[in-house]
Amino acid sequence: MTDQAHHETTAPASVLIVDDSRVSGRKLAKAVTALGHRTELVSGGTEALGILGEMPFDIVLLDIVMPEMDGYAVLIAMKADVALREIPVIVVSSLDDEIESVARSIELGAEDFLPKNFEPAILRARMNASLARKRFRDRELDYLRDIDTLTEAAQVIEGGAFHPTELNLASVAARDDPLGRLAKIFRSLAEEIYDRERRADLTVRTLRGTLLVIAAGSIFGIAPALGRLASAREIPPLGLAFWSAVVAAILCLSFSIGRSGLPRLKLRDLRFLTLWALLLGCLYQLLTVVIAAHVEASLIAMIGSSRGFMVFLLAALLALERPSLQRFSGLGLGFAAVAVVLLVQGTGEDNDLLWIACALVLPFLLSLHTLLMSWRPRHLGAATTVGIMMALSALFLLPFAVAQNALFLPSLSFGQRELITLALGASTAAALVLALDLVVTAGPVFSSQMAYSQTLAGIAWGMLLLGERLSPLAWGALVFVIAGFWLVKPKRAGDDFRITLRMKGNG
Amino acid sequence: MGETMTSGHIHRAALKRLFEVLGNDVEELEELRGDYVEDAPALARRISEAASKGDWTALRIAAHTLKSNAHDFGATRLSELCAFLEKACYHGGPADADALAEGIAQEEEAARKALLDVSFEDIARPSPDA
Repeated sequence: MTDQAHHETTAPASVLIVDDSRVSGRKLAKAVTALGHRTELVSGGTEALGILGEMPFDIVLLDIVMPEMDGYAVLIAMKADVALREIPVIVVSSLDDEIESVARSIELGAEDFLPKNFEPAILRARMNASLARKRFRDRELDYLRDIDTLTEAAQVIEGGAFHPTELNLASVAARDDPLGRLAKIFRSLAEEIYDRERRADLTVRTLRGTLLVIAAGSIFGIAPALGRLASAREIPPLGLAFWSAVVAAILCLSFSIGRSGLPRLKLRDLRFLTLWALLLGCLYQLLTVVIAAHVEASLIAMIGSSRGFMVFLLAALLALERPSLQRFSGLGLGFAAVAVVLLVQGTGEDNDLLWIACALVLPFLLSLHTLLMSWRPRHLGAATTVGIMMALSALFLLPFAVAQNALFLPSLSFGQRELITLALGASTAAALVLALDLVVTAGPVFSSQMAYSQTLAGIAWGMLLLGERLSPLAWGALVFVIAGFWLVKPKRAGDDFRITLRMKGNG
Repeated sequence: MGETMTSGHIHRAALKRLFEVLGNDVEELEELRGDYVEDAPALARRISEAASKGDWTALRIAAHTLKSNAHDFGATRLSELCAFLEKACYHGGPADADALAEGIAQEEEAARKALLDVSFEDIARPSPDA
């Protein structure tokens, strides 16, 4: 016998003794305890089934002749119960005159029998033999269960998107045998593939996010140039803001209704869209008009570039994204590049410090806008969301435009004023739709870098539309801003990130 | 005969064997004797009651239990009487159940008294042949 087999045979077991005779039961319990096992003694069949349902036992020593529920009934009940059928039962019988009852018990599933006037050596031998068989069977069942677990893990991977924690292989991998090693290798391969896919996902989202930041920022950046064109043609800013919101709403809603029909709005969605419209479409527009009258445009742009830091801090405070020195450095690199360009380009006009401080409200509002975008209703498409928000913005701006006498009626002849309005409305709609996608793809902190691309794009659009000159310094700044994107990196995928492996040969 | 039996009712060799099964624990043997002395008269009463009612199942179970207990404590005669009664119950019930029950009651009382007279210190002592 090997050491392991010997240990398994003699290891302490939990033994249930069922005997209606106190004397016989106690004698048996004493003999079993002397073998090093733990015993529980009950005096009837009903009591035996009760305790078997409450506590685990390794073996049952069962008297046959008992009042009320006899040993046969206990055996039948145990074999009918999935949880109890693997527990070996040794019937205790007066061998001299109960051969038939012993034979019947074995037919009913008893493992062995023991005479009432047993010899301790026979008791030990029969118990050890039964326990050894039971433990071997337990090991077999464990092994089969672990194979099932491993098979289920393979099915999880084969079945589609998975996360390594769903494989539940910890207990199988803890085995010290070839099956355990197989589970360890299987699990580590799954984890390695998962990590690789997660890194690839981050790279893809960084690239996609960078393109979206440049695209959305470039489109947003046309606004200052259009504003200067409008100003040169004495188009009232509030009227322009109102009509461009109307244009954006019409474009987005036409697109979304044409594509997916009328949107199904819930009250909760309307509350969100109203808040967003009030902040971005109304308050931000009004404050921009007021502050622009007192602070130089390039200074407003530089102050606006601080949006990245504001979103970074707000996202950290609201636990939306984890802050890191690397991301902070990336934001700082972009801000420094834009600040240098703006400072060099500055006209040297005197700016009121109080108004400069007030100008900080603008990036703060845009930061809230960026964060709000990450909470937008997911069941509404981006065009629908932007369309309704811009319609509400137009509604809120209308009384202010009327009060300022800034509301003009567009001409049917479609002159420059209408062209500027149309361009501003279309660019706002397109940029906001892209920005919504950007926030979902890369998270609010990465998206906030749109402030840099927007500022640089503003300079580029000024060059294209107004004939302004783009300095080599601005080109250099653009390189630093893009380097900043790679430091900030998009928000990492959460724990719910899943990957799908495509199996070869799956028809 | 005198060395192995006590008052003709208790077989000392059986007691010695029970003592060994209990791990040579005198205290445990004393306690087990207490259980036997407490249960045996009750079992004899149950046999008498079942016999008078003609309840062969109750009679068989009580006889079976007393048979085993008596056998463990060396009350060989009592055990044999119970075994006879138990077997008769399997075959339609004894014709003279009351008389058999009365015999068992008498033998149970005699064996119990004899058992109480046994000194377990003597049982625990190694036999001269050992």
